[in-house]
Amino acid sequence: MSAAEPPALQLDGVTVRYGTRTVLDASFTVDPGEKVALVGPSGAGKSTALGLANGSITPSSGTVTTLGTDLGVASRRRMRTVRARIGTVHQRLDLIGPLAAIHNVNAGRLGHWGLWRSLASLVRPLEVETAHAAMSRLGIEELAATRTERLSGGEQQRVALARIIVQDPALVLADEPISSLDPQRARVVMGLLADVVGEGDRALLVSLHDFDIARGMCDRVIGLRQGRIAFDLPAPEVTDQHRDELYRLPA
Amino acid sequence: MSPQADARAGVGERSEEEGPAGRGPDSSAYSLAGSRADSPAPVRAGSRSGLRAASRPGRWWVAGAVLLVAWSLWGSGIGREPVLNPPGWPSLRSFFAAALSPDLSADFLRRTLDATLVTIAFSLLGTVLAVLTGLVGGVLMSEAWWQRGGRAPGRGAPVRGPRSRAPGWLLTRIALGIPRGIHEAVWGIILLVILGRDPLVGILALAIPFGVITAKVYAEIIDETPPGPYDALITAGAGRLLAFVYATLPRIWGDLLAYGFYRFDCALRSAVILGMIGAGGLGFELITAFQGLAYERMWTLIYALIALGWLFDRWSASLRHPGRARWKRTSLLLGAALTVGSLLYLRPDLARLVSARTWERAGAMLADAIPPSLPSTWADLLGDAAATVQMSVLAIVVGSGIGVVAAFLGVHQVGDGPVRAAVAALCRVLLLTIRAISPPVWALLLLFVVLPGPLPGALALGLYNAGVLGRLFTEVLETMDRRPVLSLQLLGAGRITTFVYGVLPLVAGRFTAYALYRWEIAIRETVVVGVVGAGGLGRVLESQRASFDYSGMLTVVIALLLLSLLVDLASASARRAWR
Repeated sequence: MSAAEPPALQLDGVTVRYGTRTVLDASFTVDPGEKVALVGPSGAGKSTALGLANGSITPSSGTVTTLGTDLGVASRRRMRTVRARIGTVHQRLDLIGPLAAIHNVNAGRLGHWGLWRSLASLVRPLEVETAHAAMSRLGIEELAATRTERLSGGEQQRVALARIIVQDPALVLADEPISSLDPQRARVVMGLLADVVGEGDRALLVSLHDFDIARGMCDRVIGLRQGRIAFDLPAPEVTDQHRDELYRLPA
Repeated sequence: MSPQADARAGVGERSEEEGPAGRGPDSSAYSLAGSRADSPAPVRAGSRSGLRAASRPGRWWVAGAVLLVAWSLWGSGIGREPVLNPPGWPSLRSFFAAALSPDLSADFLRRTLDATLVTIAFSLLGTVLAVLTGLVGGVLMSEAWWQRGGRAPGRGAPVRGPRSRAPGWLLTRIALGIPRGIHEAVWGIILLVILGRDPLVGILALAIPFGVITAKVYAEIIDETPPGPYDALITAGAGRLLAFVYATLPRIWGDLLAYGFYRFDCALRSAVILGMIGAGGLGFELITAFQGLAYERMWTLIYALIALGWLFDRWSASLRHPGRARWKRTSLLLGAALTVGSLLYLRPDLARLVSARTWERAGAMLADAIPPSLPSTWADLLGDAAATVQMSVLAIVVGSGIGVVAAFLGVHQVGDGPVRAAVAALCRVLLLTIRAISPPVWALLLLFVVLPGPLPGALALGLYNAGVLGRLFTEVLETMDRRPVLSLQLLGAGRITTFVYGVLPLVAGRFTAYALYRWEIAIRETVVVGVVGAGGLGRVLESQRASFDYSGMLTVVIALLLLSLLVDLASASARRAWR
């Protein structure tokens, strides 16, 4: 990591308000290559923070700087360039069901390919070797030609992760990637995610409910409560007391 | 309401037929149901050719469709022979110019109102009769009614096997296919011969095919209803009818009613077409105005049709919402009052149904018709049949093409700017207008500028179907899940890429299903554009009727039935292949 490299993500005095309700009011930074977990009860603003990071949510005030670009003033083209370097794993995956799995994996390249290459790839998949390498790393290379909506939930999860591999982003955002899984599968998926993110110098911002996983996988843990940062600590310093405090129901 | 029930209630313009209930596009086709078990065997990864083949599972279907469209284009004569009639342009222009100056004289407005009432009365009486038929027939056709009939009570839940395996299923389908395979207009032509000129003709021409369709849909609704409460009453010793009325009917009442309203919506459109072949009302006035080249009057009538369609669209949409029990009751009472009013207004001569003269004429017609005879030669019959199929294919191609463009322009989303919203509104009004002008009127207008043959018929049906499909496509776009599309945008994909990778694959399945569904209807509707001279079997039928050639008519009707059966089969298996 060179000193000149800008932070992967910087929220500076950011607030998000809907009407009179403030859903987020926070400032924090994610350094290049840093793995950060966002924890906190439902409605604490975790998804909002992730949405700000990729520009799908615009802040009411403050600035969001992703990979060195101030999203508030970025041109459409600039925005696309930045987004091409952000990998997002959505809570509900949001894959294109009727397309074959390989197209969903290759969608990770759409921000890099121009229009014509993207269209050509639908007829005859491009960069098949890269896609296959990614899929075989996740054990789904057999399913490349299967329609994505016919895959099981677990397989679709792997397609979404393979997409991240071929996209090769500098920042990965994951919104509660394991919230709908049983503990066993949650471990597997988090292992895969750690594996995908681990290589290179990718930064990770992941929202989680599970403190143990957050502590085990990330360098830093940020606790959010009612839109504000309750604590922002290196993972080893986070205790069970922090958790109980964070999830305590308001009196 | 479940998507399926929603589709069945169909409301608006789902389709002229059953609505895509049950076997239609909305049912399970697009669920994630296809588990790994029934997915095609995974193709080996490394093989490029395998990839290409598998990414297009319906390769043969696509090839077949391309061939069919090419053959239809060839049949239309475009590029092979003159198809346009340039001297007719000024007439068409003056027709559209008259749109801004409809005849609003008090005298003609009164006449329009009268014609509107006649059309409503026909549709209403036809629908009421169809719904009553549907109620009785639906109960009798339901598996629930028969399967538990002979069962000793209390022997556990009855097992309902898949319908396709029940003996005689295919026979039943074919038997039911006959009344609904024959278009209302053909029923009208036949009944006109038997009953003579009387409002009964229009009412029955609607009630017979609609009754069968309604019965089929009602039977499906009954069979989809969980049988628990019904079984409980049967076990307690109640008779089947009593158990049905107490246990099943209250639960399906809303669905039955909603479908009845949807049928009425279809009946309104069909009544206009029936009017053109002599039943009176708006259709008759339209033809009269057209023959007198009174375009201003035609537009008055067209605006009346648009208003009528819009009004009932709103009404049935308001009934689709859950709750509103009181409004539903009021609607029902209003419907009952209107029915009585319609009877008094039209005064159909019920005695004709049983009069000796009717039986005599029916007997004479049958004696003339049997055995069926060739209209001319086998070659001619096959040629006309081919033209009919080509017409229907081109109609769907034209209709889908325009419909897709109109839908993408007409889709309205939160956050649209004023220009975008204005374009969307304009598109919707245009779609509403081209839907309101029924296919035969389009055919007559097109015959100004296009020489007779399959082409004007195809274009007329195409325009009308563009109105219908455009609206269905818009609904698909508005109800689609946009999150996968957003996820592509977040990858930095451009607008066009997002559209091609995201929106198109997500809607293509339902678009195709709707287009195929409309094709089944278009093949039946070829008759109504044929009657006004656009070509195909409908034109043959009209000339036979004029010359009282009943045995020839029977042949043509059989040919039409076979064609619609063929298209049904092709469309159904294409839809299956697409899944």
